[in-house]
Order: sequence, then structure tokens, then C-alpha cells
Amino acid sequence: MVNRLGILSVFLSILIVSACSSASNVGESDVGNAKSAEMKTKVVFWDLFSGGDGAVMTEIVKEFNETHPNIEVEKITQEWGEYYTKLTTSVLGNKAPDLGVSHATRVLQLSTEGVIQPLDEEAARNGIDFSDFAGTSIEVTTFDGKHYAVPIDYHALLLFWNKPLAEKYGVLDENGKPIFKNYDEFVSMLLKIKETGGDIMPLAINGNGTHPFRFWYSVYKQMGGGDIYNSNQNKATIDPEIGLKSLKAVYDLFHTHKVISPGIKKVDEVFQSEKAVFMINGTWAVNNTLNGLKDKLDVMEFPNLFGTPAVYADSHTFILPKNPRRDQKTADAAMTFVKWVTDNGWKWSKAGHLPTTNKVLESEELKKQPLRDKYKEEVKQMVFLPPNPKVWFASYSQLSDVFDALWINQTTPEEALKNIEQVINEALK
Amino acid sequence: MALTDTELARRTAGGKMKRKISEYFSYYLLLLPFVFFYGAFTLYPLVHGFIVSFYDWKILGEKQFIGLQNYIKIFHDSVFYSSMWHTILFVLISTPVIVVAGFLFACIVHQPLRGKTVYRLVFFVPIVLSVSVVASVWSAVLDSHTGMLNSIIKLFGSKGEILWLSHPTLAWLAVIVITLWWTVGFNMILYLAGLQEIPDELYEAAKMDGANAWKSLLYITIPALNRITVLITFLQIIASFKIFSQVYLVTQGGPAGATRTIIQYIYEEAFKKYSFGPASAMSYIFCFVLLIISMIQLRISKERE
Repeated sequence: MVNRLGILSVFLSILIVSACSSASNVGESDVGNAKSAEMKTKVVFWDLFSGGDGAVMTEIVKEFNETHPNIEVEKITQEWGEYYTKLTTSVLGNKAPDLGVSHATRVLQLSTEGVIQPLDEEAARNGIDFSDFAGTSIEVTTFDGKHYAVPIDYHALLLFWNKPLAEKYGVLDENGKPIFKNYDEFVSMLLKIKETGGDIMPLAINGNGTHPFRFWYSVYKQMGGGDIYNSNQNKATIDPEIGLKSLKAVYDLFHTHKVISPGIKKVDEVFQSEKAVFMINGTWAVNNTLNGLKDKLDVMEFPNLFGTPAVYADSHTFILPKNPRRDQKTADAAMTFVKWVTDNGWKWSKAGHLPTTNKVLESEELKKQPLRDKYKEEVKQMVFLPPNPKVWFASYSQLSDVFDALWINQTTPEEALKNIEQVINEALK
Repeated sequence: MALTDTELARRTAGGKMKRKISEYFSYYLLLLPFVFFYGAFTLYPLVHGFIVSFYDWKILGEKQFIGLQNYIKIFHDSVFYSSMWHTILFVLISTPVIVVAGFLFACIVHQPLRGKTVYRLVFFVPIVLSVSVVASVWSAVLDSHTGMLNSIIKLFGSKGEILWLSHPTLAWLAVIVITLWWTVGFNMILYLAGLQEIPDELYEAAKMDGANAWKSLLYITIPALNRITVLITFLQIIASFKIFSQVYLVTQGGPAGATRTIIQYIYEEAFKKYSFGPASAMSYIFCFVLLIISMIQLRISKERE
């Protein structure tokens, strides 16, 4: 009896241990199968397009797979807020995807952490020429002469409005553009709506998360502010006078003039249910909002309120995560996909983003898309966050907290400025 | 396993049989699968995390031993204190509320009411929902500009929005209500089981002696449920200390970090900033706090026995 029990338990233990170890081999044997099949090269592709732009990427991947019988791109979308955590831990756990997406301003951090690799060889082999690309995205993703990313778009904040509502409150000129040339006129335009509009909100913007910071950063840059931190000196370098003035300008919209209601979390819903006349949101919201409001929607570049045109922007890029399991064939298949997407950049711009190559920017396909001509010029005024190897301030909860506190009137602009500096200094230490 | 252990203890204590270790060999072998998983998924991370808390632990790259520096760092970190305080505040407020509400609901559904099964179901059902469902439902209800609650309030002529999730006090109120709605069913079921064990004769005797319903509750029901109350209270304290997901999904710790709890801060430090050293150190301080509370619980329940 005892012996039988013993044998049974040894057997059980071995079974469990072997089950565990074979589970960890699944990935490798998959690759083996793919190799032996020699039919389709499978590319595991992770993106972070969990918003309105996700559907467009799904379409693109589908079309690519249909037109490229030898390659199968498998797209896995991670939630925006958790994407980088998952990407980094996947590299650590040797389960990295073959191809990934990163914001241009995050690439330096990913390469410093050892999450991604340079992709010059792979790009050259597959006909990607970095000189085709326009704007800053290439600059901020190239270190020591090596390219770490292939840009697919520029995205930035825009001003959206509801045409019938804006006409009703008489805030459009004969060309259908909002009637303002500077900050004061912008405020009086919004006040005009507030006085007669009753429950209608003059301007809506998401009051939490990353939007408030981007809004402020755009205003700060319009006032001529310099870099808000210096990565070499690891400290905040906000221009004190402009910093305060810009914080106050935005704070006043919320609390002095009360033309933005604080605490909006779902700005798309608010705007699409026609509760607001204007909305500040990103290029990524164009497609969705257009589907919701149809011809009622109009849009223009982020309002230039202080002289220098400037708007917070970033760029989505393709990256190659470090992945020892990715063979050359898979890497080439991944880059074939990258080249196809950038060559046909207007397809991705259906999501609302602006393309990264001059060729696509001037293409007929882009011109055919609704509303694009109204904000195409924004490419010229885009300002990026300075790249930084330690922290990605575009999504940094302690920095968002500072803006949260200001927008709900818990702190003054003076305190907020101090807090921003403190958070940045602490983070870069 | 528990049976085997007690049997083992009895036999050894009796001293009747002095068996060799080999005879129990198979029992130990049967324990192996459990020990394997417990070791791999509980003991190993526990020890490993403790080691990490003394290192400058880069996610990729070199790991450097830095002694107590992580601990020193977090003792100078104001966000650590505020997150810890938020967690303690939540425990202090939510524990009595959810325990008492569980008791009241149990009393209600214990009554011989018509359709009491329906009530039991209604009170219990939220607990089977996953946290993401709970968070989605309540976000839709509480959103200040598109939420159901504010729409209803507006029907009664109120102007402007109540910022349920963007005002520090209201956000806490929201979190407590959500947690109550979600988890009260568990306490209710435990109390209901306790109520059903109280013999009816006690109430009959009390009634004959002229006790009214209030007196019966005070002198029979509550004392009889004493042991279960201690159990529920401590389970609730531990559960409340571990608060994270519903807050993270509904308020994201906002507004301005007003609802950031300690587990959220540990998560952010570890997986957003990749500061695994300080995050591990915080986990161990937090673990220490929970350990002390568990010890108090053991002491109290022992005394009562």
C-alpha cells in the first residue's frame, strides 16, 4: 500500500514539474513549427492603439495580411496606460513581440533600459530610407548615429467645434472659423457662449490624466518658454516667469472665467452628445468624432493664443524590441510591414494622425480625406518633449497629480509651478 | 492533509506506535505538488522580494547592493506617507460601515419576509462580479458630465454638475459606496450563517420573559454572533488594507492623488518607474503592518476561546 502510494505521488510530482517546464517551451516550439512550415512568416506585433485609432490599425493589418500571402502579422493591442510596462516586462521575460510601437519621446528611455535595439541594418535590407521622413521624430529617435525607430505619424492637440452650435452662438466668422486672434479674444468668445448658452459648455477638455499637462505645455511654448527640463543636468529648467504666466492663463479658463468645467473624464462623450461647443482633443479623436457628429464637426490647429504657434506633439514609431527568438526572416517580414505602412501612410492617417513622410503629406489620398487640409499645417508648429533616458513625463502620474490639483482649484498657479519643478527634479535625480 | 496531521499528532502523543519515517514517506511525497507550487509562487517571491528591497534593482542591467537606502528613501517620501494614510483612512471608515451593513442586510434577509430569497440574491450578486465590471458600471453612474446620477439630480432642477470623482472627499465617498455595494454580500452571508445557528428557543424564552425585539437583538443576537463579528471584522480590515483595483479603475488614484492607496503606489513605483528596490521595501513595510494586525486578531480570538 505504502509503496503504491509512493509511486503514485512520485508520478504526480513528475507530471506537474514536466507540465510546467513544457509550458515554458511552447514559444520556442512555435517558432520551430513556423520554420519547418516555411509557408508563412508570423510577426507578433504589439501596439497601444486602444482608442479610436485602434480600428484603423486593425484594418491596416488585415489589408497587409491579405496582400502579403507569405507574412502573417498578428496584432495584439495593449491598453495605452499599461503598454510600456508590458513591453518592458516581456523583454525581461524573454517573451517580447517581434515588432512594437513606441512614442518618439519614449525611445531614448527604452534604448537606455535595453528594451529595444537599433534597426538600421533591418531597415536598409528592406528598403526603408530614413531621409524620406520629415520633422523631428527621426532626430529624437537617433542616438550615436543609430536609428532606433521608424516614425508612422505625428499626433498633436487640435481645436474641434460643433458647427451648428457655434453658429447658433455667433462665434464663427464668414469663413466659418472661430472669431479669435489671441487669448483675450478667445476668452471673450467663450464667455459669449457661456452667457447665453445655459447648460452648454463653451469648451471641453479632459480634466485628468495627460491632457491638462499637454494643454499647459502648448501654452507655455506659445509664450516662448524653453525646455522644461535638462536631461544632461537632470533638473527642471522651467522659465519661472513664463511658467507662472502660462499656468495662470490656463487656470483662468477653468476658475476665473469658468469657461471650461473641471472634472471632465470622458471628453469624447461630452462633445459627441453636443453638450459642448468647442473641444480640445488630439488628432487620434478625429476619426471617432467624425463618425459621431458627421458634417456637424469642424476642426482646426491648436489655437495660437500667444503669438508663437506651438502645440504639444509626439510621434508613434515602430520599434524592434530585443528578442533573441526573432530570426532574420521574421525581422525582415516585420520591416516589410513597417515599410508598407509608412509608404501607405495616408491609410494610417485615417485615424486622424498626420503622416511622417513629405511624399504622403502631399499625396492625393491624404487630400481626399475629410478635414485633413484644415490641420495639415500643424506639422510645422509641433513641439516635442525633450527626450530623456529616465522618465517619460507625458504619462507620469505624479506630474498629472499637480495639474489635477490645479484644475480642481486645490492649489494656486504659484504652488503648481513649484510642485512641477519638484516632481521633475525628484524624478530625474 | 489536516486530517493526516492531527492523526499524526494523536499517534505520536499516544506513543502507542513508534513508526519509522519511511512509513510516512508516501504522505510527504503526496505533499510534494503543493510544496512545489507553494515554494515557487509564494516562498520564492517572498524571499526574493526581500532581497530586492536591499538593492538598486534595475529592470534590465546591473543590480547593486545598497543596504538600507531604499528604506531610508521611502521614509523621506511624502507620497509614501500620504498613500499609507489614505489606506489607513479607508480601513478606519470602510470597516465599520461594511461590517455593520453586512449585519443589517443579514438581519433583513433572515426575517420571514415574502421573497427573501430574492433579497438574498440581490444583496449577494454584486460580489460575483469582476472588478472591471464593477468599475465600468460605477464610472458610468458617477461620471460628472455624462453619468446617470448627475442626470437624475438634474431632473430635479439642480444646476451644474456634482464632481463625484473629481472632489477629494466625494471621491472617497464614491470609493466607499462602490466597495460597500460590491463586497457587502460576503459579510452578509457569514452573518446569515451565524444567525441561522442561534436556537429559536432563546428568542422564545426571552419573549416569555417580556423582552422586546430590541432587547432580543441586544442581549441574544449580538452576543451570540460575537465570534463571527471578530472574524468578519478582521477579514474586513485585511481586505480593506489591500484596496487597489476598484480605486485604480474608477479614480486612478485621483483627483490629485487624493485616493492613491499604498498598493497603487507600490505598483506605480515598481511597474511604471521600474524602481523595484523602493517598491519592494514598501511592500515589506506594508506586510509588516498586516502581520501585526493578524497577530492582534489571533490574540483576540484566542482570548475569547
